[in-house]
Amino acid sequence: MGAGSLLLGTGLAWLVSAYRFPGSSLFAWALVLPLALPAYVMGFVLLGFFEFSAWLPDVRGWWGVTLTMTLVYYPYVFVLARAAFQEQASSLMEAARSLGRSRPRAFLAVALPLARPAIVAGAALAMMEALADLGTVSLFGHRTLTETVYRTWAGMFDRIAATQLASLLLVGAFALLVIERATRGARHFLNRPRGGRQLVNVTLEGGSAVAATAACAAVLALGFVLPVAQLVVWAWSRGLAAGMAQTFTTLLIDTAWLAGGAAIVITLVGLALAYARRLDRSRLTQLATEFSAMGYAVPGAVIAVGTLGPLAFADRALASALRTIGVGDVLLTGSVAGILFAYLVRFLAVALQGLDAALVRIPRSMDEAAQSLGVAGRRLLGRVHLPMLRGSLGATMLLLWVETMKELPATLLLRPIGLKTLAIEIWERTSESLWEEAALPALALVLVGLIPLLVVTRLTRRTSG
Amino acid sequence: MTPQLVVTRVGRVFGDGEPPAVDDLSLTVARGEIVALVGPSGCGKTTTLRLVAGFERPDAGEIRIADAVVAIAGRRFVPPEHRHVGVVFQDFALFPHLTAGANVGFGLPPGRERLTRIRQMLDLVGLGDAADRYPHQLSGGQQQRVAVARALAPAPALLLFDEPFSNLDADLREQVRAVVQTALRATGSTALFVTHDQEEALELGDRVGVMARGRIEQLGPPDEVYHRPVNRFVAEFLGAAAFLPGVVVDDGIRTELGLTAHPEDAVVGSQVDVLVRPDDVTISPAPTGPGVLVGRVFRGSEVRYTVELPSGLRLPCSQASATTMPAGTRVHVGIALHHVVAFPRD
Repeated sequence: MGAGSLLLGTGLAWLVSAYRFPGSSLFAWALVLPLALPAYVMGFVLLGFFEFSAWLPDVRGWWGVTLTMTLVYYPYVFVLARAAFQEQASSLMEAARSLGRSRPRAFLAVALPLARPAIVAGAALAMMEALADLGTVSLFGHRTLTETVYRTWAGMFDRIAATQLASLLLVGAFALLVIERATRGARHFLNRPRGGRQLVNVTLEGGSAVAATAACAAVLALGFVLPVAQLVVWAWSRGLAAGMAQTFTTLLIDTAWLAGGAAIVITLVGLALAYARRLDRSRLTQLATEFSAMGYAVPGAVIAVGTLGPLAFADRALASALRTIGVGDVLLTGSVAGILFAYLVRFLAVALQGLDAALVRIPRSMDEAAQSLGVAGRRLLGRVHLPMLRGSLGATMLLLWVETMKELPATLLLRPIGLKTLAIEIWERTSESLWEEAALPALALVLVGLIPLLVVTRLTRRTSG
Repeated sequence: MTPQLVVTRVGRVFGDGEPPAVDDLSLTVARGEIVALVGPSGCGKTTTLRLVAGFERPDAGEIRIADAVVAIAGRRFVPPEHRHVGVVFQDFALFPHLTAGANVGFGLPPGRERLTRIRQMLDLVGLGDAADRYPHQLSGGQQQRVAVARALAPAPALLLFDEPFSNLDADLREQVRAVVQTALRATGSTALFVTHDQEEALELGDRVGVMARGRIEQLGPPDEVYHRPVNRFVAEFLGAAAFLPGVVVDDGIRTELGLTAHPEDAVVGSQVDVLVRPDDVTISPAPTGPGVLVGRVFRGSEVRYTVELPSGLRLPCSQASATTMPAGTRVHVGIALHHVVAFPRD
């Protein structure tokens, strides 16, 4: 899986960054679209697809899983590799060519090694995500959707096999990162020469142009167009019964509210931490913020289990405190507060990363200029930083909103009784093999997942154009 | 004089309806010669360089390097890797993932001589001990010298420099420029420089080409383009210049400051502007003098005054800085022209 997404992501990224062919600018952003499909949706779509069309060659089993996961996760590599290629000054490739290397050889000797950290990071990210999915299977006491999917799929994915696969993935991702770091040595990769122009596109013609278009189109079709089409067909064939529309609307509203609340809470905490990091450069603060971001690498199910302990403790403390003032029992466990806390642990890294990056871009001289003009402290935040961060805050919130909406295992375990989200609805339907009924909520999730992708592409387009 | 680079009537247009970036440009560089192209930004000098390097395809004309035709518009195009051209970039473009030594050796074939050659090239630019360091561990000047060594290493038929010193501090620039000049002479290299800095062009080039709007306005030895510019643009671009109005008479040009020597091919009775450089103007303090010093800039070895004449015309004037006069001083003004350059009045 790792190798697959590595090859696919890097290859496609180079194709769209260095060459121009029919549809290349479309593919440059469309190839990110598979990210909008949560793995469990992709999984059940393919599963249902194969169930319905028995005449297809049987690609279930190991290869089927690998293919699905590659299709779902290659965009991580694609996005990072493409950004890395775009950042490289064209003069580097030109220098290589004036020194006698042809285009493909210059790519191997210069562009590829330079993009290596980004590519490896993308592959590691892809593997972590895959792990989070698989890890659900093993570390959870429940039968989760992921488990059901993978189990039905091959008949070989029992819990132990999944555990092994998951640990293998974790070790693999970790090893990849370590090896990459070790071989980097004293080299510097982020050494963007000043004032360099970007990579110049070469226009492909004839057969190679057709091949490039076909390759991109095939990946896009398999990874996005076909699954979504399948969902639409299912949702259509199921029709919209009157009662179902009613429950679906409630479902949508509940999901949106819960995710919205989570997005706001996490963004605020993230902002506080990122800001603390800017103001206080001490080792402890840096370390503490780094540490608080680690939840992103932990599968949601693990976090759910992990937060149960502290929540129960808080419940007990709260209960005794409240009893002394004569108020009845209030339980955090199984409450919205509990689930928000789990989301916070899981997704804080997303907020922290985005806001940190945005804060770093505000030069310190800006603070000093403001201070010399008599603006400092809280007014500095309000008058200088927040206005400058507005865009990033919005983007972060949007991203978190979508992420929490898609989150399944922690939601499943910690949700208040009676609360249903889209993800849970999908899980419940698919665990009963009711593909068509799961199609509508799945489509809704995919549509929501598209929002941040489109926003981000528009933003990057504006800055690069 | 064997030509090493011959550019014949080359043109390059980037967009429909836009003026050509390079327009019917011809240029010949002899073996071992250093030519500097200079011009304001957007004059097409960098595009010219990129056409020669093979990073751009010409829309018209032909390019030859060392007797091989490397580009004929629409018919023949040799890719950069087969042109035997070394390029030194404005941003240095050192490969950040390779050591200085590996950067220099990038264009060399593998073999035992590779290491010798790397060593030799690094020594040539005075960086013999930096072979194992990575680009980010080197200073800007050192990076630039590695870039030069890398371009020189494969003994290219032609070296191209794109604004090579503009990313360096002023004092460093002088120093690296000297190293580069020595290295070029030592290897007998042929080089084409592109720069927007006229001082740099005058200092580096055996010949200097002044470009504007995709064309070479004038190409010649530095003293010639400086002292005998063919038009006002060249005159103004290469250094401070003022134009003194006059009328051509039988024995010279009559101006506000007296009669000058007779210019070549000027029609008697025609209205002209005489080119005056700061070092052509002489002043001496005199309470009744016609000129007034209205500006003074101290530049170390010299002082640059601005003198206003009774007609309101202002002339630049450079004087040794040992004694200075305050602004407001009345002065006698004279001109001592070595070459009289006059342009017909518009």
